[in-house]
Amino acid sequence: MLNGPVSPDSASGGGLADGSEVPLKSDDGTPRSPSIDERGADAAEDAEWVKKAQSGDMQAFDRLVSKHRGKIYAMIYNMVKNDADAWDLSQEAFIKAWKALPKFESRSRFSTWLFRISHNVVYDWLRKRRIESEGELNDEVLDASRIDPGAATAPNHDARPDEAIQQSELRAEIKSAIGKLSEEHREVILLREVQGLDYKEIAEITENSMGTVMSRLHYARKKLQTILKPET
Amino acid sequence: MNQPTHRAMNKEPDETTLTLWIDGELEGEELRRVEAWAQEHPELLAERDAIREMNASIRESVPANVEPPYADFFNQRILRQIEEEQRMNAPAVSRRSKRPFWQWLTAPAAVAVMVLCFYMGTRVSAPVSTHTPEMVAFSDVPSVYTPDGSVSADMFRAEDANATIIVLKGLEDIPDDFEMVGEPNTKNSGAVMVSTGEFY
Repeated sequence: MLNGPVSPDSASGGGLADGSEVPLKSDDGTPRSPSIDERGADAAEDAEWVKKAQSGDMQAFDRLVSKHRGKIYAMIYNMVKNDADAWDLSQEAFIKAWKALPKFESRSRFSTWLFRISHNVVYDWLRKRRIESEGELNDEVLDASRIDPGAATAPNHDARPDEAIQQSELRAEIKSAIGKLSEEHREVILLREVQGLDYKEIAEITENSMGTVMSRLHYARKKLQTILKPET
Repeated sequence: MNQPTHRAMNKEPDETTLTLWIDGELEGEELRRVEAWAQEHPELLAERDAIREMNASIRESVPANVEPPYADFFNQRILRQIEEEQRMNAPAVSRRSKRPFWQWLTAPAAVAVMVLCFYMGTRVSAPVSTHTPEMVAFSDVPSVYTPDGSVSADMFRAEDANATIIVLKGLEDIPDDFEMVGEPNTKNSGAVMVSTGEFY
């Protein structure tokens, strides 16, 4: 793996020149999910490239990678919380996608199918990691919020302008809270709230029923609320 | 979308119905019933608003699309790995069968060229000389050379001792304090020699 990858926290969205997606924003500048029309056009474009890639056109597959790598990397990063592992696992997901491409029948959107492959890659990795780390130090215990800022070995953060502190604190709190959820709850929150997928797509990705997805979403939100509730 | 069945609204809506309601996905009669329930339970309305606000914060805080570091290299590595795997997985027979027909001629052509070169080489090499080679006699008597003109050397063959003796004349006397190191070596030929391994 490469040295010094850029943390997704500081990364910006990709340009269009290489086919990568630009994050969508509403009029007030807040991130938003694509509309139904946008999704339709998007899916049609994907279908065209998928067809070419299925006939062995590597350039078409390269375009698909460029277009979807941002979403896949962001999703995997938020699941594994490590940029080097996220980079490798994203690679693995795309290579698996290439291998399985002949079986892809366009019954679902290409991006949904990619998320499903990523889901399997991440869960395989988490399972393996859990087995390997049995009896070892649990990294999750060492989250940044529990590190004494005065400690000699505390991570060094650049000073931020005052007006940005509150916003960045909120962001950090939310990310930390999502990180404390179980893998299943975290995944359903990310797919629904961050990636803006519908229940059916989430059910397909996680290989669960829609009822399970909605129920899981309900409890994940409750848990998040509890974590984010200010201590009295 | 298909909505799952749920209990009548004389009880609290189940988590599935609540999720649909919070996400604004309930319609028609179902929606009216949950709204009626919520009017009687204002804490439910407060919870809905809090969750919606939290969801908005999540969308704002967690980017949905993040370019991986070294994005170009990211693509290149994927493509290279796919190509490598394709090469490794391609069965040997099919790989051979995909060779162009002219590649099959490479080996026989190379042999033919080698034979031709050999034949041409025998034609264009130097003509065989008809001149009888001279017999060169080498003297088995070694000559001795002394770089110092004041020193002369005579050499004798002592057949009895099976040794060659060299007599040097004109050398300066060796001083008494000159230390000779080493044992005389009399192995093999029987000639007397001085090992000079540590002499210098």
